[in-house]
Amino acid sequence: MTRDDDGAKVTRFETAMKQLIDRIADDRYVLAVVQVGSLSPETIWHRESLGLWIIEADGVSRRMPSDGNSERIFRILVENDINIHAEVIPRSRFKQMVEGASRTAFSCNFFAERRIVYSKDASIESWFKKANSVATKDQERELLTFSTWTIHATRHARKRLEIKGDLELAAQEILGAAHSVAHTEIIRQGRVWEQDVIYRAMEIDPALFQTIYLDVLAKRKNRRVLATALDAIDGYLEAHYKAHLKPLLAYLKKQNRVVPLSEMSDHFAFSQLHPWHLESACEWLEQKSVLQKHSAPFKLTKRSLERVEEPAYFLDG
Amino acid sequence: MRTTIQIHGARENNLRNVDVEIPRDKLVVVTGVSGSGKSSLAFDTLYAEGQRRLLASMSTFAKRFVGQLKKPDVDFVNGLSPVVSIDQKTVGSNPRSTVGTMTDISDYLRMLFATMGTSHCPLCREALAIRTPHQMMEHLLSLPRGTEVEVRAPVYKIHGEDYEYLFEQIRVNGYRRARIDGKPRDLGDHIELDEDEVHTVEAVVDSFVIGPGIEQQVVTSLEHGLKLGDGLLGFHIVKPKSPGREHQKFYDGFGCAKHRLVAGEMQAFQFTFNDPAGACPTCAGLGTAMRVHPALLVPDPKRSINEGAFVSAAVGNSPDSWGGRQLYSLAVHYGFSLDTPFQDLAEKHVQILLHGTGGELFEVAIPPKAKIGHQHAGKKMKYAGIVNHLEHHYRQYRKQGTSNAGMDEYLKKVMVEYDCPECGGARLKRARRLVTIGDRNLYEVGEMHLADLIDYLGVIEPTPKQRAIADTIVREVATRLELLVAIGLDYLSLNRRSATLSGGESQRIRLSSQIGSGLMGMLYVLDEPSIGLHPKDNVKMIETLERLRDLGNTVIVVEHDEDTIRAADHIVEIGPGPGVHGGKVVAEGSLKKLLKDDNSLTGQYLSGKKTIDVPRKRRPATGKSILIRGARQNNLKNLRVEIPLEQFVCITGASGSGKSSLIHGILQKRLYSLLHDSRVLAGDHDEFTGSEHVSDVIDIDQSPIGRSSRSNPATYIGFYDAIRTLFAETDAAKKCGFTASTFSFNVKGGRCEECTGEGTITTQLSFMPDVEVVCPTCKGARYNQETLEVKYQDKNIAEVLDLSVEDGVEFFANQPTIARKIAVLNELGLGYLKLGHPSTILSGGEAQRVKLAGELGKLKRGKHNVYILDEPTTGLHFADIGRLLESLNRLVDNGHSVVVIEHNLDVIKTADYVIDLGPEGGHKGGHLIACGTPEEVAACKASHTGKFLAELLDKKRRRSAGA
Repeated sequence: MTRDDDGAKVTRFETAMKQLIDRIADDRYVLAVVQVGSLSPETIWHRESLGLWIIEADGVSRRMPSDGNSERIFRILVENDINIHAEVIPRSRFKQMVEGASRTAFSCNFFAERRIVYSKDASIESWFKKANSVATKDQERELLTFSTWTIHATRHARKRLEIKGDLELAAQEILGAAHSVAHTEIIRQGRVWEQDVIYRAMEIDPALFQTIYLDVLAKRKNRRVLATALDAIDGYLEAHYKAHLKPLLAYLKKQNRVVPLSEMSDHFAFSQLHPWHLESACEWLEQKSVLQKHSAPFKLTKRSLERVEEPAYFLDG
Repeated sequence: MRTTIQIHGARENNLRNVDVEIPRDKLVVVTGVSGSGKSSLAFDTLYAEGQRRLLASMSTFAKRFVGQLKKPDVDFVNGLSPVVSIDQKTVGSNPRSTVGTMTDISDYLRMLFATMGTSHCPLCREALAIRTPHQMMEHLLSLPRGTEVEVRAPVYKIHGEDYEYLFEQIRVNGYRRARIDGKPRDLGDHIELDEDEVHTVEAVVDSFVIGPGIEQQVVTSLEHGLKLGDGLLGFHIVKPKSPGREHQKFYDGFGCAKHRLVAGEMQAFQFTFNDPAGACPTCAGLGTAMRVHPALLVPDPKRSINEGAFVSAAVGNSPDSWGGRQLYSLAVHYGFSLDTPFQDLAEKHVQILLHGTGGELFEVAIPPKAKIGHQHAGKKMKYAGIVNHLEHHYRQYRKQGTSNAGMDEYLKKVMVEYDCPECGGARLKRARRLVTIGDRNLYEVGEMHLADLIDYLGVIEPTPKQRAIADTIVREVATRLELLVAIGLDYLSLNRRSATLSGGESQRIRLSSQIGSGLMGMLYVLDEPSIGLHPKDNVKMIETLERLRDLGNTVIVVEHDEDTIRAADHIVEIGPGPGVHGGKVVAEGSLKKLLKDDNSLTGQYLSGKKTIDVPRKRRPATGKSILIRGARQNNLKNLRVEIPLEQFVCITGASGSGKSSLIHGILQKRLYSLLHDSRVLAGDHDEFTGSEHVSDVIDIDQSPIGRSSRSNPATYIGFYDAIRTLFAETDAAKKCGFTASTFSFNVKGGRCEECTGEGTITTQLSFMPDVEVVCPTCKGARYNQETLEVKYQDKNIAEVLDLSVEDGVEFFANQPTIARKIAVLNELGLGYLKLGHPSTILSGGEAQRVKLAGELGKLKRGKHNVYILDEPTTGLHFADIGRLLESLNRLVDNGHSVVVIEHNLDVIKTADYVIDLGPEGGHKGGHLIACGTPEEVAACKASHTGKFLAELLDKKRRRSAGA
């Protein structure tokens, strides 16, 4: 497919979107339409359908047996022979999704390439614009999440390499870690990007990604190349851990005591951080002697009289 | 039309094929000596059959949701109506149950507040008009097109949490923008605030650009916002920045003009403390919070930490536990020993253990006996102290919003309750406390005494629009309140926790609810409604029963109280004796007929042919006494009370006058705390002297002696072990290698394994009542055949358990230890009980006497115990009271002290010393009215008890003079 074809495809998609908007313009219960993902010639090549959020008025949802219980209803429509994957979302739920902080709200990079393409509710435009900026705390939590993934993948890759000598799987783990680093770099720059994150990150820090991504992909896989990549990722983590693991370190500093992992997980329960993310981060920090690992008693069932132990960590502020 | 209830062939428990005809629409008293079968007739036959038939009339589907009842052993009962039983059970200990919730008055008051309450601005207290979201929307639409309005919800931090937690909660609810002290902030940013300062935080709920077609989204958004703002929302025009006149008009009359707050429409559920919409977020509607009391953490300061000085559930001190490592590390670092008795530890070390190291770092040391945890040695840590640690756990637990009985029980062991720091015990959210009627909020209304509440309701003025609803609610509440006041409960308040009510108080509340229902044609069965009532209140109770009858109902009362029996239209006396000696109708008919009937023991007491005698001589004071000064528990008014020791002391006074507060709240708990467990906290008082004369304090109450059918008088008093040993020592047992445990039906070995020693097998059937059949293997004997072959004096173990107490005395005559204990049971009038009588079917009075027998059976010389009994005459006939008094006097004659809370004048008149509290209940009580011998109290004109006592003593004198 050529560049000219991409341009034609963009036009077809845009026409489809326009046709849909024309159809719903008179529907007083449809308040706004948000385009999900880019329709640029750079990204159109892989598109098979058009993604939209359709914001409806509250209390008018049409629910079908196949829809399940979620307030957000998935519909497949078609215009101009282009399938449209639309999520129909009540206004109040939509606001909660974009403004709130919970496991069901969006993490900040989700806002990438979303734009209001139609609205008859000026207030939606107003607060969507505000919400489309990345909140500092959300950015920090995203950094923490992706950093824990990086830590997790790196630890596995190093074991594959050093204990099993499995170069192929070690390389795969390193590539996974490189993608997490790419996400981290994009978020760290205060930017949001949905697709092809690794290319954007390579533009930001070409030297780092040469070592941890391109060399691992392109060069013959040998112990030296992979070890160098792992060292580079470790170096990256070490250089930025105070910023990238900030929410966790700030929490432990505020607690100023030995904190059991379950309690830590409860504190982050309404973010997209799960206990194993926190465990990875704490273990890495303990290896770097930033934290001290202790243990604390834990009841497995609410009626248990015996206690097992769970990891607990202490940061000497 | 049938005018009687006809019972034919009643054989439940000890009833001997009883035939009786009870007149309908009358007040009927069923009386008789304790254990004669009164309750078997009234409750186990009449009530059980009535209820069973009512349930049987339900559909099979409905039956799945209700328990099925066993058919009572009776041939037939004719003329039954729907039956309601009002017993003396105290309501459970649920802290959420109050007098208001029990009587449903709280439901009505909630409706009243939702209907005609006035909300107030939390900042300036200006009254706010109530608007529905639609009214707010319509007002918004009155603004010029293009105007942008920001809607904000005022939010407040939870006590004990910081602002960061509040901001997280706002974001979890789906709001990211806020105004903090008026300035716009993004809650996604880090916001540093001085936690000690109060900041105004308003979450931005939404912003609307006024234009066509926004109605629906405005309403939904406002509804969501009202939830966040607990019924309050702020409306602020943000565009244009300088509003013109047209815009300014928007604020006029729309809420608080100064702070631009509007109150949303209120629903009744928002005023309930059992719903998150109304409950105080800090205490979750309980009204109390808990904090650790250091005294509770260390039950026995004489023990060292290694010997378990701390409550084990709170602090583990095993060398392999986290707690043990911490304690050992602290001891090593700060140089104290874990083997030193806690009371001898330096104050500095106690403070470290309880309140932490104040941020000081120390190294983890591993206890020498530890098997695990060595990897932690040398690591640095800080210690916050046991108190902070437990309080942190408590906050986490509360935050989870779940309830766990085990956790609650554990917390109660080490923590004490205090008023919630946020709501001060009001249980309601700040926004709900801002809603008033006649300058009182719902909590303040609930704090009023019922009598005052009637006056309050009489003066509130609804607007003409509210009147239609408000009048109905006020009428309904006032009627219920009047009934409660009429029944002598005027001193209660709606906020009073049900768990703090006596059995009699809860019974009377339920009785008033029944009268309030206004039903007729019902059959009410009541169990001793006179319990807990002062003679002056008893008159009111009788009037209430008569009122219930006059509404067209049949009222059957199991009762021993003389006044109630005299007021009855018809009396049925069951007897003649208890247990196997009872179970027959010995007399029935009107009072007149009963007085003349020589078979009627009740008639003989009522006619004065038999009496409980006043002692000729009262015991003189020994000079030993317990002195309580400054008693202020509950309603006690800074009392100075001297309780003489080695005497029979009666505490009297109207219901709610403070008797239990003084005796259970202060005397018993303080003595128990001094003699046994320092963790027990006595009620408020200044000084307590005289405890050096007391060896022990024993509360003999009417609670069951066991909750399982495996418990019985023999196991409770302890002579069952001796009986089992006797069997084990027989030649037959020795030959088979049987030990004492073989003769227990609780453990494998000698018991019947088919029924695991129960004697019966219960089969659960769907749609049908559970069927209990006698075990086909052991035929109810509870033991296997080999065990039953072992005999002692020609009786096997099952036959011995089947012996009555009377027969037991004779059977064990050559075994003095066993015989003495059984003889005490017999002396207390329990001769009819079987030795293996399951404790689950003992009445409260029987259980109390079994306990008393247990105490009498272990009397030791040289001990000076204080025995506390709360209304021991409950369930006792005049004849039983005489026997009870003999036992109590035996305790005193043995050098002990007996303190009895009692209303029964026959008991009071025999006391050595009477302490009368009053004059009334609740806030009108709590004073010491009179004290001294019954004659001295009778001479006190201010004493209600004295008045009734004087009448009784006079009657007695006249009778003696006549004789």
